Amino acid sequence: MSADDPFEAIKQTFFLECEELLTDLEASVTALTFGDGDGETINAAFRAIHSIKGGAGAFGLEELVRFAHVFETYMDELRSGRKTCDDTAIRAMLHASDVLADHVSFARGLIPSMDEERSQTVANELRALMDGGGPVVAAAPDPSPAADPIEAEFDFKPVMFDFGDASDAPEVVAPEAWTITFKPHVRLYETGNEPALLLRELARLGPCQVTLDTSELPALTELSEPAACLSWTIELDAPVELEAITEIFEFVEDECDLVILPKGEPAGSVEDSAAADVGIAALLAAATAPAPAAPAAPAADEVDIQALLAMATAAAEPAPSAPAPTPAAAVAAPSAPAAKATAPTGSAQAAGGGQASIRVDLDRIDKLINVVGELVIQQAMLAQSVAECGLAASSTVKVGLEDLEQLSREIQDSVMAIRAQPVKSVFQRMPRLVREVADMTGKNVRLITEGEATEVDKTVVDRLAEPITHMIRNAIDHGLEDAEGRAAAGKPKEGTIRLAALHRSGRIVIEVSDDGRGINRERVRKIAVDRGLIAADANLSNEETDNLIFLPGFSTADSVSDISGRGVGMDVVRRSIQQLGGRISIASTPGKGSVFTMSLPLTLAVLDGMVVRAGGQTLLSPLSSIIESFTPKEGDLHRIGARDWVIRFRDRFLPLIDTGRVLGFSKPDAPEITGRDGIAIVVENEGGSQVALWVDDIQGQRQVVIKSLETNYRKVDGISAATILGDGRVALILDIDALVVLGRQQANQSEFKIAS
Amino acid sequence: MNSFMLPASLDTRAAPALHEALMGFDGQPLTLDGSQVETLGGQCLQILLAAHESWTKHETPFVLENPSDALTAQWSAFGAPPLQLGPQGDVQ
Repeated sequence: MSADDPFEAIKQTFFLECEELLTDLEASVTALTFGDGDGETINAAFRAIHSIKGGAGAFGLEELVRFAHVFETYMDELRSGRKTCDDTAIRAMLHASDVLADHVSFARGLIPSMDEERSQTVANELRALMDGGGPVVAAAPDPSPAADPIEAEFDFKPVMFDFGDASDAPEVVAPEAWTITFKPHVRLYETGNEPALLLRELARLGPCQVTLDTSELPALTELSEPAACLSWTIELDAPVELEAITEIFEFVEDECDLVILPKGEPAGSVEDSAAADVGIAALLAAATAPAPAAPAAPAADEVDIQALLAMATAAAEPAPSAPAPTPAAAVAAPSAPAAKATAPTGSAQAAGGGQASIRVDLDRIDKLINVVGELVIQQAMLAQSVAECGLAASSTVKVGLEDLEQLSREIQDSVMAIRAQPVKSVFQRMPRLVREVADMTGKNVRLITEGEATEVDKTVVDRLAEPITHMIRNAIDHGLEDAEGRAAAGKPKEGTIRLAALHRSGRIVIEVSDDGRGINRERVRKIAVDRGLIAADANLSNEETDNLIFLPGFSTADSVSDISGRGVGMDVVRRSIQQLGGRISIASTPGKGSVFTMSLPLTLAVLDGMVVRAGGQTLLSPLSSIIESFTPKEGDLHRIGARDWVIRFRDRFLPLIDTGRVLGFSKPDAPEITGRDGIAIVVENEGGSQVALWVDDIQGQRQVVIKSLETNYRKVDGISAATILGDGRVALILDIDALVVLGRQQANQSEFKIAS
Repeated sequence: MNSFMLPASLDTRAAPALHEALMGFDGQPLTLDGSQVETLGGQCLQILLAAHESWTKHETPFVLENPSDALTAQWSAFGAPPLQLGPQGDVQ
């Protein structure tokens, strides 16, 4: 066998598909929760579960299949209207989809163990719902619990041809029996599907007579690998709906030839000669086959098969008492089902595969982005060299270069767009989190999400989940009042958490808001004073007070809970957001709730920055943190203490950080700030406080490709990354927050205002 | 008489190895031992049937011995014609 296991690769693809299917399922269930759902929503949920089950079956993931089956059966009850989709049903669905997701994660090896007990509990919950309450079509007199019949189907011995489901009451229009011809293509095997499983599924619908056609089988030496030379004719002697059969073949419909006809239906419309033969055989069988154990079949070797079949089944079961199909019944069946057989295919494709897309390994895209980054740098270098040659602006070289510049910019944008992903994948994980945290805290919470389609670079999407999770936990645990508190405040019993994403000035903004009690500023202030985080007489605005909760070691919870608490929550959130080049802030209205807003760059691969020079070095300041830059007048600079400076900016004094000196670029004997020309760049740091950076000059604004300094060298204080400029030189990208901290360490002087 | 122990899993993954193994016995009388088989898939079924066909054509014995219950059951579920069975499995 080959070293790289193609089966394993297929399995991985299956898991990726599972991820999408689970997302669809979550979306459907969420829609139902909000009462937006209709029959199609339930159908969509059913399809998702069914597809997961189908794939899982092919990979022998028995536990997953077992659970999915129960879930699917329940959804089928809802779909058919036999059970009503009420609050209890939706709650059960929510639980079940969580457990299903766990099963998938476990099968994938993402979680170390599976909570079997929970799985059982939820499965039993579903069974109980199927069993009791609501009208049941054919009440089975069997008093045994529902668990057994379902389990029994999985205790598989392929001899269970006669597991005809007694509750499958014959529909008025359903034909008495079906003839199915099925010829898998190579692709069916390649995608990890297995005819054995399809045949087994068919056998679940009712007694099956399976005939194997080996006429296309070549000699062993000529058999290619993999090959698809076998085809089957299955006579299903059960009055099931056509949909029940097409569903079984739903995932493989494009990977096999499939003809489903009511038994005895002349196969005139099918040009395939094999299928035509089948039709005749079926007719013959229909005419002579009241006892399925000994049907007459035209070919001698088929008699052997039937004999074997009979032997295989004889021991296990009594002769089935299925109604003998009469030619009359078959004729009476309209020929419409034959045409209908193709219909689900079309609609399934329309529903499932609307957009044309391909799966690409992320590594390949990363490589492409790297190369394009190099291309942009190379292009900038070339442009600079040409500029230095002093060619006329109208020269063909220059014109061509401008076109090239535009093209490379376009390529870069397109490549970045490839990697852009909607934040939906992150948002979809949150309903579950909300449910779990709500359960733990005993609060009633409703999550509303907005802007799920907002796109952001893959590098950012992957790292959004953690801070959002923290913020939501915090909002439920600390923000929302408990039931009594809400009642006392005259608010609806159900608390609301809103999670929204939007694009704002080239950044993505994520807002998490709650309609809880808001921040108790007095308490926050008291705690901050108690912990020595602020001076007792500090004069803070409401906003500044609110932002105290981001300070390390701050916790407002009275009791440390499992969910948030321990006083690390918001501090950690802020740090992880800052690492992404983002900011977080809070706006709170006492009694009305709080809004946490975080803004992040759209990508971590390119950066818009201002090229500056300080201490003889070329540096890049991220544009997002720059508020303003200006050339200070003579009297704007003031010295505080021995070597610290402040600068007047819009009637305030801001600490001034001598960038070159703080980073150690300036020579120790370099003249003081006042002794040289320079420009002040006002930047905003983490908590929104402003400082000014002193630089020698500003060279311009440009987009650069970020190169990690850590992977190529090591972490440098005050520097976040590096880039390569058009002239081939390396420029360091300033880490504004770290630079401010460095500056503070040297300046020990925080911002103050002339008047406040 | 050569004999070959069929592996427990005869799924799609096992097919290339089975194909190769059977090709190695080409033209020689062969007894397959099916006692260990737990699963049988379409690909391996195809190979076994093709092999059976080839051996039969050359009038060389090709016998399946001791088929496990799972093998027998899956074989018949496929509707496949019976192979020439050895002593223990001879149900004809």
